[in-house]
Amino acid sequence: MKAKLPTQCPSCETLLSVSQLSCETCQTVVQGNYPLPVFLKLSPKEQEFILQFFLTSGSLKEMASQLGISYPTVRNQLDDMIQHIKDLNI
Amino acid sequence: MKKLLQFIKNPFEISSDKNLTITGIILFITGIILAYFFQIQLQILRVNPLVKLTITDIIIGHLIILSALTILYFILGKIINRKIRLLDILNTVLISITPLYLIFFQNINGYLYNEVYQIEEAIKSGGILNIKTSFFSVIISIIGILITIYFIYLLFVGFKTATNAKKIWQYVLFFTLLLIADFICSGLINSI
Repeated sequence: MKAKLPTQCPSCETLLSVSQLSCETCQTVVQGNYPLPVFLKLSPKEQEFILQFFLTSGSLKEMASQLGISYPTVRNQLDDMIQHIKDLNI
Repeated sequence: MKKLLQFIKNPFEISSDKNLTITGIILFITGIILAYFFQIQLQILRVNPLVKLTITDIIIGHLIILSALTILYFILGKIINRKIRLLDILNTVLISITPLYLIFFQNINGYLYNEVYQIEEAIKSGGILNIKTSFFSVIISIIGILITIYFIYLLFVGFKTATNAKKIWQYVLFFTLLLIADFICSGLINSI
């Protein structure tokens, strides 16, 4: 089973940050405090949406037909996600 | 079954533009034929079974309703979200008015005509309080109200899907516009 990267604190639900990175080959460990990349700050559903958007070359019409939903629904989801990313202060 | 329930709940969320437009146009034409057959004049939030109608009167009446709702909600939609398309509003109107065509069946054997005629005569003679209401007519009225509520619900979810409206002031304007559209359409249709 592929482990899922947790992005939220299970205790207080604040976004987690990266504090340790390690090399699987030489076991070098880097410690510090790095914020999560924007993509990982999004929910799994939003990440899936972006991936689909990319795979359909940004065609909302094609996405709508693949997901079995209407064009305005896909456009609304995109608008909501744009607003969410803006709210993350990036 | 799940798909059907989803369709009843919000057809604008799951159906493609093309399907909605084709279905909407077919149902719109069916609505005109039914209105002519049952001799009922549709005026958005009310119906009039007392007038004698030609097919031209009915086509003009239905086109007035379609145009008024589409134009008014498209203008409001543009204010809320400049990305909206006219097609989405047109589909919303075409599909949402469909349940109203079921009301036409209440005039089978001139039932609705007789009921409304009796009420109108009672009003004229001042005996409205003496009019007898049968259980059947209460049921028919409730069905009519439920159909109208479903029409407003479909119009609302269609508009919400087309514009991504989420704020209270947008909802208030939506319902205000429905009353304005009803007022305009009644005026225009009655002047035909």
